[in-house]
Amino acid sequence: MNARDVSVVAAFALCTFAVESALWLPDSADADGPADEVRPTIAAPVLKTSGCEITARLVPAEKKGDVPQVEVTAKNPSKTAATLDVHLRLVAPAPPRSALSRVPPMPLVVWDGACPLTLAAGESQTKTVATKDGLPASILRLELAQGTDSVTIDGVTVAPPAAPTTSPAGDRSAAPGAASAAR
Amino acid sequence: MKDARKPAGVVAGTALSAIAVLAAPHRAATGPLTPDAGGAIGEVVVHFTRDAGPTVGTAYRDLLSQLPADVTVDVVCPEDEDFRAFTDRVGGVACRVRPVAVRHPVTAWSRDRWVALSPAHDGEPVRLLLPREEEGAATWPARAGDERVGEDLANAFPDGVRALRSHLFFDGGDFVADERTVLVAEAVLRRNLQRTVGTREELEGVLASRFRRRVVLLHDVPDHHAGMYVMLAGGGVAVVGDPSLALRTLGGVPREPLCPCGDDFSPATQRLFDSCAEQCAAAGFRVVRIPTVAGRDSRTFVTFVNALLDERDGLRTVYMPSYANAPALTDAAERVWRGLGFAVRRVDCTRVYPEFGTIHCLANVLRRRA
Repeated sequence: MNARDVSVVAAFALCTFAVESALWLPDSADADGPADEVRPTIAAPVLKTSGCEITARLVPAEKKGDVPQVEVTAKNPSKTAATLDVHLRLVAPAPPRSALSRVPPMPLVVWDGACPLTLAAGESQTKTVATKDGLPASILRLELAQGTDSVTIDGVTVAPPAAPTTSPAGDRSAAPGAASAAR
Repeated sequence: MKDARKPAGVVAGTALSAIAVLAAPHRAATGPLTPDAGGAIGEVVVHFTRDAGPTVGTAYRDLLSQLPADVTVDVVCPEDEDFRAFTDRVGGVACRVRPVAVRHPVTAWSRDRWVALSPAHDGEPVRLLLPREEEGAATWPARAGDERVGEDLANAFPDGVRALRSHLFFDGGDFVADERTVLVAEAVLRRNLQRTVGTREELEGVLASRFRRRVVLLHDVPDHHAGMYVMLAGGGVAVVGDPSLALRTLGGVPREPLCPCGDDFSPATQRLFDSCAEQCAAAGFRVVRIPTVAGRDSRTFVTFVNALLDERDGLRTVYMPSYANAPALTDAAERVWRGLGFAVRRVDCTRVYPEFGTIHCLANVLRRRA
């Protein structure tokens, strides 16, 4: 066997190793699987119920005397009309009762309201529901429920939008109160 | 010779690949969720801080003084002084106790920090599956410290423990498992639906795949960790709390409430416990009810299912929470466990339960032996 033969054998061995390793190793070595990669949260939670899709966001009061509003957007992509009775709740985390507690106390419902909707087939609607004055400025949770279906929109706030700040690149900070689950 | 070169290369390459695959795969493999029932407890993790001593000290003393000598207890504490305070409180014990000083604040609650995934093969490390984040960590320094404990354990025991951060929100106490099934508290759906998963079915699939167990997602049950109102005892038995049984045992509503916030014997709360029992029965379990008192705050439970189970040499043992202020309930609950064939070891949780948990919440089982 001369050097050329050795090179050919080595080249074929290398190629075979590369192909077979690529085929076999990921399945065996990646035992944690993709399920546990830390993936981003769903940016805009959607309540899917009765064939409709409902999103919501908390809109802070724009001026003194106004109250924050929940803006509900509903879409009925189905071919039949739908009548919905969407319940809305704003929930504030309760402070720890004791530093030794296992979990925080039950969160406090600081406001609840209803948003009845009738949607024709294919129709979309946006409604606003006034909340109330004096909601805590802390981060709140907005819960939407229709029948036994529900979703939670985390991290909403009644704090007024921060003054727009423009970065050198022209980016603007996201407005607080957007329906976002970012944590 | 020329004709043989290519096949020889392919054979050599295949041999190398086989060696690589055989050498690499099992190091990272994970097995099923470590069950609450089945097998002998091998290693337990508890947390301890000096300020929690008066609250949890008696429960730890009772548990550790009754654990067999071949059990290892890892004590996660902020500083070395905390471990010294722990050993002072616990006294002499047969089991092996070792400190894990983490140099940051922690709460006293080990259970909710992670769930243990058994090794797929003997001699491999246990995987601790950590929740995406700790609820309340932003405003609660000790809870923020809790978020790091899984990795602290992996760093302390690199040969035996690995940590893996899940993309799901959960507390370890949200799950109760036996050798086949895991019961999942309703809160896991609420915390993840349309945040980390699109649908209930997707969540069930992710949990079943990760835990390698049949998943039963509970609904219309008490709004607390599953381990507060149900325990799987092994052998297809589910032990479910029952406020009405507590009421009968007590002979009526106690004049002095057991829960500082007031006791809740309302029909609505009873329905939640009954709903859990019905779902367990529908899932194929033989359901056994046990006295339980729920507090009006939905957090404080006088519970007897929040226990640690051990099985070795044909003997089944339950380390059962007991309450000095509820002797009749404790006796009745002990009879239930004995009726299931368990030797009962009481762990005094009188000072602990007002803090929303008991011994199952304080002690997390890292490893079991078959």
